[in-house]
Amino acid sequence: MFEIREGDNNHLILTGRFDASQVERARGVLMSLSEGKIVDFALLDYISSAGLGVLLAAQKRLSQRGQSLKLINVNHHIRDVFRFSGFDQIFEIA
Amino acid sequence: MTTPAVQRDTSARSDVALYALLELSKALSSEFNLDKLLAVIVEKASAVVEAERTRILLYDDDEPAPADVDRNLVNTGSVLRAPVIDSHGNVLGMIESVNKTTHATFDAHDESLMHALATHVAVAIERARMTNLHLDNQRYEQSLRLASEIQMRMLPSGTVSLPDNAAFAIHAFIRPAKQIGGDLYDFFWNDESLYFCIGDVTGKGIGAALVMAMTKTLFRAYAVFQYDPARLLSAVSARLYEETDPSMFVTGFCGFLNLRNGRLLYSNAGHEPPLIVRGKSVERLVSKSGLPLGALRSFKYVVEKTTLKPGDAVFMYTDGVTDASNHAEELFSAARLREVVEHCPDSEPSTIVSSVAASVDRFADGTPQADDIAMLCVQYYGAQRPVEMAEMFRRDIAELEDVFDLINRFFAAAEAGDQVKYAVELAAEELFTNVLRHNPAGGDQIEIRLKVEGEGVSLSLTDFNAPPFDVQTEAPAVDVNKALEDRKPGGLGLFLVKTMMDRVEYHHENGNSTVTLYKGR
Repeated sequence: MFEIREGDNNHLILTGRFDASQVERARGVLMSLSEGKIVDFALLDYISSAGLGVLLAAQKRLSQRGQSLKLINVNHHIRDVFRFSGFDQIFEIA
Repeated sequence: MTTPAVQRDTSARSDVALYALLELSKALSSEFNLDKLLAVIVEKASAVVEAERTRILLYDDDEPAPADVDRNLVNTGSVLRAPVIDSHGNVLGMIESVNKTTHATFDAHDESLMHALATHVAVAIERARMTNLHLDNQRYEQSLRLASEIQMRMLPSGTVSLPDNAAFAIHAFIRPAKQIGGDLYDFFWNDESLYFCIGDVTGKGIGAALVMAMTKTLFRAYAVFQYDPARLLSAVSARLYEETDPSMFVTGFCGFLNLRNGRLLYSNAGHEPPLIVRGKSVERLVSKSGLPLGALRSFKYVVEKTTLKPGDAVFMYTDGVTDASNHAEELFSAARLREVVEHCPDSEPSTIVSSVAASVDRFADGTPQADDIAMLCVQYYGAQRPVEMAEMFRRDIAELEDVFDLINRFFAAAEAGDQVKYAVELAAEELFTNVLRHNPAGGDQIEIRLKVEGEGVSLSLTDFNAPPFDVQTEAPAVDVNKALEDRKPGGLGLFLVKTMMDRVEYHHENGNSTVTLYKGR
């Protein structure tokens, strides 16, 4: 199961497993953002390159407006994926 | 006494007597209740001999026939008494009629009728007793059958199905010589260890069966909290000594197998030491046997130790196996047993047990089984039994859920770590989506196979009848240090797979494209 929803204080909360079958749903939310967000990964168990691709596209779009996505509560498996892919250099991970 | 009046009288009397005798025959052939039958005899007898009353007196266990009991017919004229003698010549009682209703005295004709009646009574009693005996036997047989069922239900089923990743397999067989017997086995396990025991109560039949039930219960009761096999035997022995007949004792063997490292602690109480099967080699387990259980009030058994390697099996049995005999009264013998076990195609417990059972039956060739037979066999697979799972998937992104489900089941069985699992999940998804992207028109399903490989796991994905696509060479290189604006998502998946997995192999054979990835633990 995968879920993406707006939380309080400009938070975006991702829950469950962000795999290739969830790309369209996530794209719908992430590509329509008009401002930067704090993306809470606390409840996110899994992400693959498909999820990274959507996050990358959203980050590129926001950066053109001087905005960005910041990630918080990233578990160590996902942190590894960001590190291996160099995505830790294009996302601020708190 | 040849006057016409007397003749007429006699002839009239004969009709009554004849009629009464006919009634009596009818009752004898149709009435199976002894009390009712005797009542009919008493009633008809009075009619037959024209007596005021008749009675039947029978001896029983409380009042047996005296040694000097009169075996002759007695006729005092007013009392006519005949002994009731069965076919074995035992005096069962007597039949006695008193006072001729015609005020005459009993004559020779009455005497012979009385003799015939006494014979009828004897036959009726014998028949009734045989019928009761037969019914008793039937009830006894029925009770034995029930007892047999109860006894067998006391033992865990000999055929045990365990999960794929179980560290052991176990199989048992028991066949009493009679309905109930004195052989027993038991086993139970938890994540760390497997407990098992086998035993043989001296003697056979109901006595042995009762001691068997008690021994099995004692073993189970103590084994639950006593993990030392020698102390377990001492405790069971002491209780058996206290609570059974001094002539009863039990040979027994028990062990605790550490499922993590194959360490086997065992102890022996006068039982045949088990065989250890290591591939093609069969050895007898070295064992310093103690006294049989229940022989002494207090006896210290010895703990012995050995280590089972993955694949090793322990075969336990009772002497009903080796002592099974054939028509020539030869014994099956320990030598034949060892030979059969050596020639088993594999060391699976069910194979060994069923091979031995079949050999014993072939050898006995219908000779009735004289002693109870029990066998228990345990094979140790090692802490990580090879696990392999594979499934076919349609070319549909919606199948991803089932791919992850397969991986979940595999990792639950293989007990591998989270770090490995994440990498395998990601690799499976990336390879699967890669096939959907590069070969969407392929006609066949895609196979994903997971295997425990030594300390690690492997993941293979096969695209059947597909053009070659070597992920090692064809996947684009990814520069992870590029600035955001220059990063492209393409190629990232396979790049991650190669980074996170330890080794990648690619084969294109018979038109099938297979990628295999390894990840150590």
